[in-house]
Amino acid sequence: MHRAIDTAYSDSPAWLRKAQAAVPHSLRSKGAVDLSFHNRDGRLRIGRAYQSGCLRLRVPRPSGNEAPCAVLMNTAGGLAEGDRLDQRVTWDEDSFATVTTQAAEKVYRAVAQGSTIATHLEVARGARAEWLPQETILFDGCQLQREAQIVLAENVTFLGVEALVLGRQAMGETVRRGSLRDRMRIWRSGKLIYADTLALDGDIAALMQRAAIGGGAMAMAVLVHASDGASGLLEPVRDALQQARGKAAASSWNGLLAVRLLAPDCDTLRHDIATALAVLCEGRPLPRVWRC
Amino acid sequence: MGITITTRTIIATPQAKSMAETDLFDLMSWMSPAWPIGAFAHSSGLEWAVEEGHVTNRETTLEWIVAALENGAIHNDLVIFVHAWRAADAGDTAALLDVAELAVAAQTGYERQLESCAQGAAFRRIAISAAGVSRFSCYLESLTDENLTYPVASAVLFACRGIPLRMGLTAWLHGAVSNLVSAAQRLVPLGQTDGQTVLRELRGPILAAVENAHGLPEGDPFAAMGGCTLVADLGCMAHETQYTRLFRT
Repeated sequence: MHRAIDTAYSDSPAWLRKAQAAVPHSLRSKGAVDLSFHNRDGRLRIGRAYQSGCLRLRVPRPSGNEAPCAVLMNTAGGLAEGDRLDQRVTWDEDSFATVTTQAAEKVYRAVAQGSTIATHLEVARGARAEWLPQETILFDGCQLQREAQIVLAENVTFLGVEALVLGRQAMGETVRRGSLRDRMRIWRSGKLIYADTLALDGDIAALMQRAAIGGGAMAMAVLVHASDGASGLLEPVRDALQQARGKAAASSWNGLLAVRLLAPDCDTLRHDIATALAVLCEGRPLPRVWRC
Repeated sequence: MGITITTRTIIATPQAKSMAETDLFDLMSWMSPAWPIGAFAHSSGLEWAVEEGHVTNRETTLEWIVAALENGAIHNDLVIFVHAWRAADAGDTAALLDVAELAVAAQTGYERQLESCAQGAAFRRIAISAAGVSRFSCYLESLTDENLTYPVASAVLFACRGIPLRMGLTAWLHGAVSNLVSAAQRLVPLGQTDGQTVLRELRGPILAAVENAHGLPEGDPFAAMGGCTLVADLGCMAHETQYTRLFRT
């Protein structure tokens, strides 16, 4: 099965010609953001804020005890065939900031190459980095390659979430087929410490019904926290997850803590993500975009 | 020229036969439940699946194991095994250490890592003492026990011993899957006949997985990894807090 889809992605001139004919290069949407945070005398400063194409960046003024927050926006309103987002964020030494997205990302049907989201995060010594994008909604026939590379120095705190929803159930949408490669790797002090790939191919609707695979779930998330204090957060996270409405479990090992969530729909998933984040954000409120 | 070929054939045949038999003998020793790596203590989250009612009989046991094999942790173990075998066979220590690091990082939970590294470390200890393969230990000496997974330790031994990849993969998978069947017999519980029937029914999927793994391209092993056993992955974490546990994982 894994080989079958690799073949579909391999250089097939017929497929590529078809794709190029279907969606002219000029109509494909590309977006890139390259953002850096640094700490100047205890205040957060934006160093670099490169934006191009359909990706835009806003930095609302924080209120109360909110973390300083940058919000990414995809002005194209989603990703279709051939679309690509490149997101690069750097947290310099001792900086502390959250990055989120203004809305759920939508990935539409694709015919050949599919859509790509590449994320590269770098966290320097002493920094606290939170990568909390809202969920990605997959539509029937989508082909998404998502790759997150997270590079941590020593003595950092990192918190990341990746959430996926199969169709908008409230709109009566279902995902029958598609192809998803969702990769996440984390390095700490040059050593690979986390490597996970969600590979969902072909008849996704049938796969998600199987007992060991989806168990009937339509929404899923993984939260990963990396810090020296990761193991100390395990019991509080588990206590909080007693209130989860979907399936939830947490584990801690090697200076990592991960939470896995499965839910029948997006609302349940968001509730459970917020439940876990309430502990992992150590009492600070979620970014405002998560609350409205 | 014809004479040369004939001569080679005459010399090679008895040697090849005895090689195949000694290979088989060693593989059976190393993949036997009596080879002391503590496999009996691990269920890869199957204990949770039984507790939750996902696995209740022969059919659901088979389905759960097939999912792990084709879409889950065992698929990733096979990718690691193939790349570790090739690196050791080529004497490429740097590539081997990269595979070993990826293998640990791919254990996405405490019990997953415990299961793979406890067996990897135990496998190394007994193999150094009892396998009689001289080159084996030097490849892995820079890895501590927490950094040595079971598929890496076994693939390196097989490569150092000259076991062909396809045969090694088949034996390794038979061992891994038999251990799950054995756990299911105790947990579900399944009768002896049902357990062996499940194992027989797994033969087709196992041989297909071996073919797939054997044909994996060279290059970054991470590119070939991936799975979607979301419930099983969550269950391996949930098992940590399960009230009644017979198994470590």
